[in-house]
Amino acid sequence: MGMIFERFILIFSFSFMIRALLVGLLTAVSSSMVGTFLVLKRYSMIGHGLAHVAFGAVAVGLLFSTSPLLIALPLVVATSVLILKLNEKADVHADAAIGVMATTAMALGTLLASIDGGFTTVLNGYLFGSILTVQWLDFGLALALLVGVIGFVGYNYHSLFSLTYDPTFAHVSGIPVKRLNLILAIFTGIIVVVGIRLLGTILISSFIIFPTLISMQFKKGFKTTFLTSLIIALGTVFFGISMSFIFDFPTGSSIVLLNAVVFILVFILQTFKSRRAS
Amino acid sequence: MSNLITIQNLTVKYESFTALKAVDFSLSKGEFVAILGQNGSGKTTLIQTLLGLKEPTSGTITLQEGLRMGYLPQHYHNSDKNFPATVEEVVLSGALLGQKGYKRPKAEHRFFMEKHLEELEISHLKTRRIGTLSGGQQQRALLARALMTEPDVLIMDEPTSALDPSMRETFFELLTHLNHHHQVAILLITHDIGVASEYLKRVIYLDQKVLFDGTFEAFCENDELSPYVHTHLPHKEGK
Repeated sequence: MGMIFERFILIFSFSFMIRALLVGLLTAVSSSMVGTFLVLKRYSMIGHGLAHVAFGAVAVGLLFSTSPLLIALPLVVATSVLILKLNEKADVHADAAIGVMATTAMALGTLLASIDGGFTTVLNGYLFGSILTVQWLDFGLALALLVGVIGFVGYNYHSLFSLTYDPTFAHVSGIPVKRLNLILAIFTGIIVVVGIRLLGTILISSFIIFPTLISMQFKKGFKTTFLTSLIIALGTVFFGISMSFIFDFPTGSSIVLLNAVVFILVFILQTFKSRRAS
Repeated sequence: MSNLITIQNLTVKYESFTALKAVDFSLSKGEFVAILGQNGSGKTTLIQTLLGLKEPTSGTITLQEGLRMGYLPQHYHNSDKNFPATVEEVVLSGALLGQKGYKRPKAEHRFFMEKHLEELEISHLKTRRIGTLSGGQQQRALLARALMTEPDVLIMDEPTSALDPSMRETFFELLTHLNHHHQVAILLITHDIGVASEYLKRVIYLDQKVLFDGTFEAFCENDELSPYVHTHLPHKEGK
């Protein structure tokens, strides 16, 4: 036990760990804030689909630049908007639109990696993420993202609630539903790219889905669910990264599995509670 | 009397199918109007176009400047039982949805919420999650939300379909109260003309175009529409 505590304290003596924690915590807040609306609008899979798109986009980025995420950022954001527009205009179901985009991008990424075998290893690094690769630039991006998300959600909280619960009513009442959806899609794209270094393209969608899903198990109102998901996101990222350092586990896996354990525990607890009440 | 809504020569097509053809009508302050018609006669298309959810193919819809439209959907449309929102949050959203920045509801918002919930007999449910309510209770909560927008006109698509017979009566009495005392114009699609008959001032019968626009009494005595009247209002003999 003492050794675990010693290793925990050691985290704060490494600047790469402090960077990873800061980027993780900042991104966790952004993703859970946006995630609450995405999950409840039944757009949970958008993060997962965009992560696959990001894989293809990183491959394109690696082909042209040494900073592939800067190339991936506009590509992923554009795809996120495209998925939304396909869903709105062409009447394509969201899950089908996401599936089409994700598989096409994965195919492109794999193809590019096979043509230029030189970056296959680097590309694989983006699949699962690595805290060692987190730079101060990522911290800057995560901070700017958080400021943007807090500003957007804080300013439009009531409108976002209305359009999530009942988009028709929101539209009729004069809420710019399409514009707000578009901004949500843009933020989702940015969150995916910023979170990739930490969690990798395979696991990033858990950032968006898990905190809301866990907090929904408490069966409370919207505001409570929203705030609870923030606390869960912060907690699981902090303890997930800490665990990964202490036990030398992969960071992405630690965060996702910790979320899964919390979800199962809360689910069991709530089922037990509701049985006792009835 | 100035018109709240004026519809002129409205045509709406779905690809090759014409749902509405050269529809004209207007709605004035304080009117209580039912849109009647068989299934597929274009009633819902008319409401959707009026609400801006569907683009007209041709024709114009003119709304009075600053008109506030309240809307109550056909039946509880958000089938997600687990949606994390309390009745209180949903009802208050009617007053808050345009607000910029996160603000707590003002005392006057809470006052009106309590008043509407009491009128609709759902005060005791305000802290419950909306998905756990029965269809009728949810419908009343959504009506309370629509009322929170302080509408000039309340537009409803078969609002009583989820209500039991005794609640339908109460629902129409409430609409009449709003109509009389708050001068809220009511425009609704209904098949429930048996219950609605004593409250309606005006009836529009639609079958792609407006076939009848007049008082409920004149509607019941219209020979051409007697098959519809007999089916939906069997105790009326017509002419």
